[in-house]
Amino acid sequence: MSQAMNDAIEHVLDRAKAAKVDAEVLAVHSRSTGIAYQARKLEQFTFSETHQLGVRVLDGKHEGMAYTESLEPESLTQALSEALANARMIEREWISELVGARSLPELKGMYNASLEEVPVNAKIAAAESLEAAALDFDPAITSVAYTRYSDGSTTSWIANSKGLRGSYRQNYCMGYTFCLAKDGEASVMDGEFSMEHSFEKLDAAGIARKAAAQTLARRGAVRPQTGKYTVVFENRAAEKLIGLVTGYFSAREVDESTSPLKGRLGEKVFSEKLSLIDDPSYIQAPNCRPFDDEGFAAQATPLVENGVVRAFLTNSVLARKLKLPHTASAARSPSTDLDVASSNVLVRPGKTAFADLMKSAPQVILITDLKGTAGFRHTSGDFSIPMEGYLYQNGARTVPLKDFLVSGNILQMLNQVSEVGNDLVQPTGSVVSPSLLIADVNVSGKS
Amino acid sequence: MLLNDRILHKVIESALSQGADFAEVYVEDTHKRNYTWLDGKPEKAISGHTLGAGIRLFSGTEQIYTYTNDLSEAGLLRAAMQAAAAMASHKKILPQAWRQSETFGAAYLPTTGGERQWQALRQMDEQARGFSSLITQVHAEMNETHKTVQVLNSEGVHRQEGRSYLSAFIRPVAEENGAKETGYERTSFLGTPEDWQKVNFKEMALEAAGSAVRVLRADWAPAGEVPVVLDNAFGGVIFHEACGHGLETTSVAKNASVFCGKLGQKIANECVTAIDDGTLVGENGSLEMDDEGENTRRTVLIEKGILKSYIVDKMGARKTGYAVTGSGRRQDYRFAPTSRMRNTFIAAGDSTFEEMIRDVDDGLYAKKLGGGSVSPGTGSYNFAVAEAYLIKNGRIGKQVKGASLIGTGIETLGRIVKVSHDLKLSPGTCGSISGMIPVTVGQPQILVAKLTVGGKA
Repeated sequence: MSQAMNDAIEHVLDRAKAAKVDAEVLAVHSRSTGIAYQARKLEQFTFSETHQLGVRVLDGKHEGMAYTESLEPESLTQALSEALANARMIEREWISELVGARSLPELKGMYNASLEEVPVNAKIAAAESLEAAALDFDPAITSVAYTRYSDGSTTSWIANSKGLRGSYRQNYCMGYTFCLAKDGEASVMDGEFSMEHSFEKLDAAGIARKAAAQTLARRGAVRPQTGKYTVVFENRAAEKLIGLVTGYFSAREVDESTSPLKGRLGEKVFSEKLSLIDDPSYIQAPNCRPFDDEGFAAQATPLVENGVVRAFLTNSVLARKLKLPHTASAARSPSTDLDVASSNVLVRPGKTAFADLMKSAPQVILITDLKGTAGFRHTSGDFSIPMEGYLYQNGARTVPLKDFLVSGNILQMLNQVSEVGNDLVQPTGSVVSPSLLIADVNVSGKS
Repeated sequence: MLLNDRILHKVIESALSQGADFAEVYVEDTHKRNYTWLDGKPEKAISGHTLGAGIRLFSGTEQIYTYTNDLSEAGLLRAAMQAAAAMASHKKILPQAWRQSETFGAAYLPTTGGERQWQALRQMDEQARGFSSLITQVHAEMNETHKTVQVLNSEGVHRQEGRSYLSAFIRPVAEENGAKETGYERTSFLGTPEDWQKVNFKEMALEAAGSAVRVLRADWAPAGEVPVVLDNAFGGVIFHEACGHGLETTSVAKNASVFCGKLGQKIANECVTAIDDGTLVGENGSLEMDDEGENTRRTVLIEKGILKSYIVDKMGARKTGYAVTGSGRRQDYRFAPTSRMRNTFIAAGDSTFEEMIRDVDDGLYAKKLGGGSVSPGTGSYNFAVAEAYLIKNGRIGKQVKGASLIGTGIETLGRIVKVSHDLKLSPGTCGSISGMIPVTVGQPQILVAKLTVGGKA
């Protein structure tokens, strides 16, 4: 594919040159496998190979885009002419300045060649185990509602008419299992998900057993009394909570006035216990990149240091427009326009063990999951979100909790973090956080 | 014709060569255009072309699916042979006699320019800002999609359909004393760019701007369990999410739905009849054929409270034994089709909106719903209410913000006690395992006797 894609990229850039415009091409080539078992039988085996190429044309103050999934010369020429036509319709005050030829950095660990050599039978066995080990765990597991093994590899290219050429590869494998168990007339469901760069590290049976155990533990849940509680957001739930605010650090949101952090650079907004960093080189997490989607070397950016807002994430255009430091956080895909996005956002771990967090008050609610975030109002940070978890008395788990809401303002709540745990785990998403202890949290349940 | 018959026949024959009892090839060619407006001017113009094929094999309830955008004869045959090797069933069939392709819908006509679109976007911006000086930002988009799909399978199906979609939305931001809120209105339907003239952009803009400004001054909704009157049109999203998904054989077949084994049973009050209908002219979820080449149809899901049918695709039919309902749908060739909804709504009843409000002493009127999600396994859902009002002593009172509705599908269905005669539909996009697809939701106003409202304690 490499040669065919390189030819396609040069074809588009040659045509752009003939049209006397600057152009930037992003392209991807992806392969994937997905295998699912149901009721101990192979249910679905999916595999794929796809590619996409997008061109962004810059002509003075005009910018336009088009993308195609056909690498035939006539389709590529057509895509360029559509991008040119689109550019004529858009006039921008602040436009991209393409970077010239340069040597782009590599990031070791994003691509594991041995993952490409895993035999299909081993993948099928992993998929089978993701279901079977949950069903075998306990007869009370009535079925596995969702489970899948999958892996994928992607090659990404960037090239522009100023001579920049770069590409990188990444791959992963993952597995998840979500089980159902009867709980009186109703059912309870819980699950586990894991993502790795190495097939050997993916413990399919372990994922399934953990999913089953977590599901069974959800039985007999009760509704807590409405009131103010000391709450611990368990690491996975804390990641979802922090995930609500990562967009606030985008310079685009600042520019469009949708981030409540606008104008608060240098201000202490969060608890002094909280430090957040945007780290595109944190290899365990999925959003790694050696360079951003404009071709600038990626870098780690402290977002919050001891509660103080330290940076907004910028691409080259927003950095100039808002007079902010350039953080090389350009994000775009072949089919989308230039934007800015966080990579992996890491919460700096504290020193307190999880068990000690749970002993911080005689009664503590452990939040294990946020059940949908429809009740989060992004621009104000106000929220009211259904959650689930467990009640702890004197550091010991007593009863599962359900049907309650936690409400407040996300910035205020993250200012109330009184302790950060030391329990970082292997990431499953781009936010990585240990457990967080927060006092005086509003819980609405039984009144 | 996307691909010629000879190549398609060879693909099916290759796919079946190692044993399988069904083979299908799906080819798709889609052109998209996007016009984005922000900050009072054109912000983005993007054109896109997606092109690819998916090859699917069944052996009993086992499914192999592969997709590629290498549509050369060699590329497709390689994919077919890989799928065949992955299946390697002992059961072998021969394809049915090949047929001529049947063609539905219109062919793709490339469009140029964009004057009309920018004019409509400008009009929305001006109307929204003109509505109130509190409107400080307007983001609006228009999208045009033409999708041509071709399905050929070993059972003799050979059909092609051209589908044109239009969609537009506006999201104004209102600001006052440092507080910010957004409004939102959208439209989406089957149509070519000539059909933009059917859209009342002015009304959309005024409605969205009004919604943003009104919610600015609203207090938080109180949390609690109260009667809820859900408005018509997009109010139907609750039924779609909380019940519709649980009726799809994707969930039913794996016992991951609270509606399993309830066919023929009473699952709602007699006032509830619910329908999933792909035949409505011009609606967002309408089609001539589904993405498995089956004719679309009208499927009564619940009749007077009794569960009458599930939503069934080909594989779902194999797993459950129920007949297909023409409901095999997918976002694009990257997804194998699964059982999905089309235009899904609660049918008109005989109550009136006024009597519902009159009957509530202390409750909530959910006028506009926002986003939400559901877990089909447990049926539990949660939805944001974009515009809500308290009901006090039989009258609509002050507006509140931040309300969300929380419940389980089966419990909520059982608590619908009144259904009005004023049925309205509203377009949406539904996301599930076979991707994002255009649908319509709908209902008349309904009264739910008790529902958990999330707000501030």
